Amino acid sequence: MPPVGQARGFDPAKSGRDTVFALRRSDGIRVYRNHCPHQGVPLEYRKDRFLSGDGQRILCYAHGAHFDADSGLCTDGPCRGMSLASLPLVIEDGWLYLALAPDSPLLR
Amino acid sequence: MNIIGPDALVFGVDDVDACSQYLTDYGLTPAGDGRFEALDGTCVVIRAADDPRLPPAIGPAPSIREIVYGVGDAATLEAIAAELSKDREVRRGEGGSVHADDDSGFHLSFALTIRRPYTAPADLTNAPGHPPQRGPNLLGINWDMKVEPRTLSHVVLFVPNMEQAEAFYVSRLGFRLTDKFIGVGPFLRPAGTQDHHTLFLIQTPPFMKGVEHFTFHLGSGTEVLLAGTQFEAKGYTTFWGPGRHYLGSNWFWYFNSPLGCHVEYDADMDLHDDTWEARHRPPGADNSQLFLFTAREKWFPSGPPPKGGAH
Ligand code: FES
Ligand SMILES: [Fe+2]
Repeated sequence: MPPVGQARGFDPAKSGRDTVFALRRSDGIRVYRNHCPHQGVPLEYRKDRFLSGDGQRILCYAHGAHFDADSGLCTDGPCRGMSLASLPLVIEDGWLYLALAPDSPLLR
Repeated sequence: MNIIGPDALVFGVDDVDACSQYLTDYGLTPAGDGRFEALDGTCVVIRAADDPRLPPAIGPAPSIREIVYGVGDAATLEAIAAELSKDREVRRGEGGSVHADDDSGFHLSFALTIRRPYTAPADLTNAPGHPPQRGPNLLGINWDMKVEPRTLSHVVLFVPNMEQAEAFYVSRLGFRLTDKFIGVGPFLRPAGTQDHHTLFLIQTPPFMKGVEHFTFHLGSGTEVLLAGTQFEAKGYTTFWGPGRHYLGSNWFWYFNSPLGCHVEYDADMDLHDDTWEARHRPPGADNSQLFLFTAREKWFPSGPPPKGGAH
């Protein structure tokens, strides 16, 4: 897992691109679907670059939407008031599992 | 008014290092003090969002802070200053430069152009039925071709009132309307260039005001495909493309960026003069892309041969 202030993309369903991303917050780990509520496109500008410069917010680098890193709520930008889909997760023996079926549409 | 086009775009950002890396990987040359230049000297300037040299921001960082237009002569600077001081605050700066806001609130400045002459090769084509442009043994493609952005082409703005924004550029600054997406926005060309557009405006809700994208011209469609492929290989995220636009005929490939807007590679745009009559088209996919490819790593079932390998 990435250190606090950084994020990392994953491709659990082997779709060919990172469809989810994870970040560590002070109180635990969050995993979001890599799918901006504005236009349904990936957020990062480069592999694993999902956060603002200070690592405190999630940014969509398509049209600059800002999201609260803890809740996924869009606080500024074209999809203000909408949220990133936060994905259910389980941590076991140091592994992070998504509590989703491998063919879940959320992983596409 | 002899306005040529955008010479520099100035951004205020929260991650200067990421933006510097991005623009260097895109192909611009770092020229010091946050400046990243194309072959003709047109550039993007990156500054920390709280840099006191920057005009006030429109939205949260990262965002555009100033659009610098290059003009061909000093008389144009005087004409712009006289025209804009009729209804807004105009500040004069070094070398006679003119500084004012447009009708949407973007900070503009106008200065004698910094564009310098340069030469760069054309992409030569062998088309049956037409004399060959590449003779025997001249190769069209090699693995270490270098693509360099040549000149700043255009900037696209989200504006809350595109009719008002268009009227400002056309009736106050002498831009020409080349084409228009009905209900969405105009493609505009200043009098000092024949390029289809150096400015495109898109109607959006007011809180989205800002830059949608900017692009530098490359030498050809082949160069767009090559530069985009290399940029993707460095891990950058495609937003749209590669493809070819219908209005303007330009090749395109758009990427996400840490500058707060998309950044495009573009090439081979139509030229127009004042005899052209603007087309008005609905904004559907048919009129915005003539064709669109999606890059694919795996192009036959057992996977691609090694990149650049002999086979
Ligand atoms: S797609 Fe994310 S802000 Fe537009
Ligand atoms: Fe463009």
